[in-house]
Amino acid sequence: MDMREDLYREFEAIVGPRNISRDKSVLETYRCMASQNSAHYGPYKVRTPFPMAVLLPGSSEEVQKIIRLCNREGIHFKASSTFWSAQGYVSADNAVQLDLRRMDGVEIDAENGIAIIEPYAIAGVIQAEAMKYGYTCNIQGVGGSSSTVASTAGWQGPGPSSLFTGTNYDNLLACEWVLPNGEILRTGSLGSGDGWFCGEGPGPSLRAILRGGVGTAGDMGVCTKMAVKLAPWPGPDHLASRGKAPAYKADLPDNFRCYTLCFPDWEHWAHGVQLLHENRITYTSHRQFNMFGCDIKGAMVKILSDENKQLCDLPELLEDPEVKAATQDMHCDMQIVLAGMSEADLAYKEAALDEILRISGGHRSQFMAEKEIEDWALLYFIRMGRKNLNYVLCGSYEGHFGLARTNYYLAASLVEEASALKKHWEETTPYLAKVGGNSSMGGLAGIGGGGGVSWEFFAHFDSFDDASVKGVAEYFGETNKWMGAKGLGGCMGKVNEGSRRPDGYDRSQEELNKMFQYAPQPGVFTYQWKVREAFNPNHLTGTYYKTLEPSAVRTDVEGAASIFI
Amino acid sequence: MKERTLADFRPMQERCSNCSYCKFIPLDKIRSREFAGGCPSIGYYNFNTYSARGRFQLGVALNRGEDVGEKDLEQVVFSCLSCGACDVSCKICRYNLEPLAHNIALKEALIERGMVPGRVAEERDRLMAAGARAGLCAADLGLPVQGEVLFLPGDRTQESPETADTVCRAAALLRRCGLDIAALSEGFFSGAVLYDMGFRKDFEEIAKENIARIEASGAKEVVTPCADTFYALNRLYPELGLTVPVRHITQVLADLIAQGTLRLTQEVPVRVTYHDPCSLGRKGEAYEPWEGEEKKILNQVHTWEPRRPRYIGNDGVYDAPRAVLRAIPGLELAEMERIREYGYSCGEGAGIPEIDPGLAAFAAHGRLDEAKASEAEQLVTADPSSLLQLRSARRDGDLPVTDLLTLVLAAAGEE
Repeated sequence: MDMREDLYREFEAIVGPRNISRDKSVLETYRCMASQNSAHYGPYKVRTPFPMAVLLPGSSEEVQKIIRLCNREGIHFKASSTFWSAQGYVSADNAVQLDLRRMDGVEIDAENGIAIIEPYAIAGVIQAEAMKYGYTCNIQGVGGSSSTVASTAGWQGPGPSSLFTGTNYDNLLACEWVLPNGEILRTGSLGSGDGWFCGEGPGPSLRAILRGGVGTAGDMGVCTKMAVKLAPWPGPDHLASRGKAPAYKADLPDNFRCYTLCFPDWEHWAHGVQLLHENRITYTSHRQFNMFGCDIKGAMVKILSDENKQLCDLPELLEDPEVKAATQDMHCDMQIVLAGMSEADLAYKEAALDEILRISGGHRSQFMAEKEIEDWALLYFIRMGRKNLNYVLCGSYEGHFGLARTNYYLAASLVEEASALKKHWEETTPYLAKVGGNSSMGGLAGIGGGGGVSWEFFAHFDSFDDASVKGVAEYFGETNKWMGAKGLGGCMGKVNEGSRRPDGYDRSQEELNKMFQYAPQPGVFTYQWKVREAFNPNHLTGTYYKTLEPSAVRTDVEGAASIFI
Repeated sequence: MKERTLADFRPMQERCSNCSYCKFIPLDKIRSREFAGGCPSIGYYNFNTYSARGRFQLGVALNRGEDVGEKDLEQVVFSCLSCGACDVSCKICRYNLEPLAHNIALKEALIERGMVPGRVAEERDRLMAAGARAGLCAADLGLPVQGEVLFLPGDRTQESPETADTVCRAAALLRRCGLDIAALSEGFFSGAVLYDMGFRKDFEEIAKENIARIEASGAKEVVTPCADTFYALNRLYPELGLTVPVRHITQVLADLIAQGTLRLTQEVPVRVTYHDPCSLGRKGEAYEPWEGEEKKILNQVHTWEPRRPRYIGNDGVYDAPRAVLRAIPGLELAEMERIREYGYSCGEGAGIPEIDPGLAAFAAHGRLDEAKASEAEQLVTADPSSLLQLRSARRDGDLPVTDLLTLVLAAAGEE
């Protein structure tokens, strides 16, 4: 949709001519390619709508002026920085795209152990800057190339180290937020002029308002700056790596260990994981490499940790007796990193781990303890710089099932049944990569308080292959039914559809009402509806911030099976 | 060279996961906010469009026959240094994407359609007018025309009297070390820059003429101080039939020093940092013949049948220049943050200094800033083109930019 010339000039006056474009070639590259950019919206062979213009603001004040102008003219807007997620792309024709790339500040306040960051400060950069002062940060599961501000304000931000570093939603301190109406809100201690150190006061604490249930997903204005908590880092001021690309290895002192813990069955696994959670001995704790698939994860580790190997080596490695035995051993596994704050601390953590394994019947994988593999995995977990391996098999993947709202005992009791469903599709259709069914992965401490595993299965598919894309969408129809039948809510692979239509445009309120009117806790969505009406009265952003009109709530049991999509 | 069209890249374009790794150096290697960037083009222009990811998206639209503009599209596509930084970063996780090859293929596609910006056309015409026989000849270098080792002085060496003089003296030093060095009776221009600009046919025309001259010279080996010449002869020419091997002069010097033939005895008390030229480093890996096709296994997993070379930059020339520098008495080497396969471009590639001077200066300034942050006293490189580019971009307060060969000559008592 073309923008009026006078309006374009007004936007141009705000950011300067170098920082605005309506060139067709530029606009084309601000469309989410749904089957490719699967964190998370898909799988569909569509691209999101063209924005009318792309703007690169350089300050909160510029963002404010843009949003005020959008409100005056009724123009939709959406801000993003790294564009990892479909959430950051516009979902209407009369919309402008804000690219926050120029706002990349990182300031470490070493005295208070916090980082003050802007939207384009990626987690990998924040961590590198923090390490210089003896700190590290939580890196959200999507990895080091993603925006910590986006993850903290817009989503939940769990990652492998969240048990130790806190999850991003825990770590939010004071922040500067340009509201959907263009007002600038400074929360926590910043609101009373007392700096960045606290999110709850002195000053206004609007964490729940601004974050909502799971984060605003970019629908409640633009968070332009925030402070986040850092965590102690017992390593050097720069994490050096050795080896050749792509199989870089950590070059760390001897106070770090990376283990893959193996358990005889899921019941023992759940017990072991519960003890890990309760005893808080880990720096990272994540079931990671199973994302490739339970039958191929050992072979994939061999490939990825060796710069000379490629995917064409898979068939041979899958027949290797050592790899086969190790893969079988790791069927019920969990990867952890121990970081010793001192020699005695590491000794304590090792002894505690020994005891946890004794009680739960687990053991350390010898295969993963080989020096080159351990150092490769250490670098993987600490820096989270290779999360894009999510895509390595087929070019795309989508998370599904999503037993995220369950504790680890429930997840463990259902994992084989879910895996059997996936395996059936792998073996009877060509759409999904055939990896043994079970491709569940997730981090420990995904749920505040009680502990849990954000358990997501990976469906690896080829975004270039229309049949593969279409087939995976059909498969998610089945997984959604399965989740509903188990009373677990919608499948993760389908819930994403609730945020925008398959054609890339916003959902209508009527559609949203239909989706959430039977939700187990409709109050979450009616609360967000009220917040949106108060803070975003012109509805100029999108429908990722899920809302339900209070008058639309239904309680009849018959409709409950139709929750979500 | 094997024919290719933009359509051949459709699978890659539609499998790019838009992750933005191509904008940064490999994430495992990031040490600071200031020097985290890998691609100068996105660094300068900031719009997604200028990253490899944006170029893949443009490729999708072009292959679908969609209207993505003309003038602006041309500007975007040719404002790529073809430095290969995106290629290395992408390949850390993706085993089936080739961003550098795609960036160049986009340029080729636009040239095929006649969509060539004026400055690009002018630079191409200037290079083609000079032709394959541009540059310093045997007489200029003071070398014979027959010998076992053919010395090719470089694509831009003649542009600076100082650089030309250094190269001549370095050639003389090699002769004194016992190498039977000769040069061509006429100059030599590799044409690598034309390849990186997307003028493949022009490049092939020049390359074929040069290959015939090299093969006819009777030399058993080529030695060059020029990164682009090394890239052309090691990576591009073999596909067109070149059989004579090539070494960069730093590799020859490192060997001579290791053998004890070249003795560096004079103190050169200076703290330097070393810039890896892209064409000598990640782009300079040796060509490996490959014929094959994609093969899916396990339903949807992409592999290549047979195994395909990855060109991830591991086998570029990185150790030899550092070994030479470390052999110089009194010299101290301080590394920058972005080095080796993830080194940052100096802004010299793909004709960018002529096509897009602002982008070229941005890249050079980024490198000069990084050099200063290393706390070195001089920025050293081993390529006349990189040297000239970095020197031309120097501002007050930037480090002096030095040719590695001048340090070697000084240490060898040749001053």
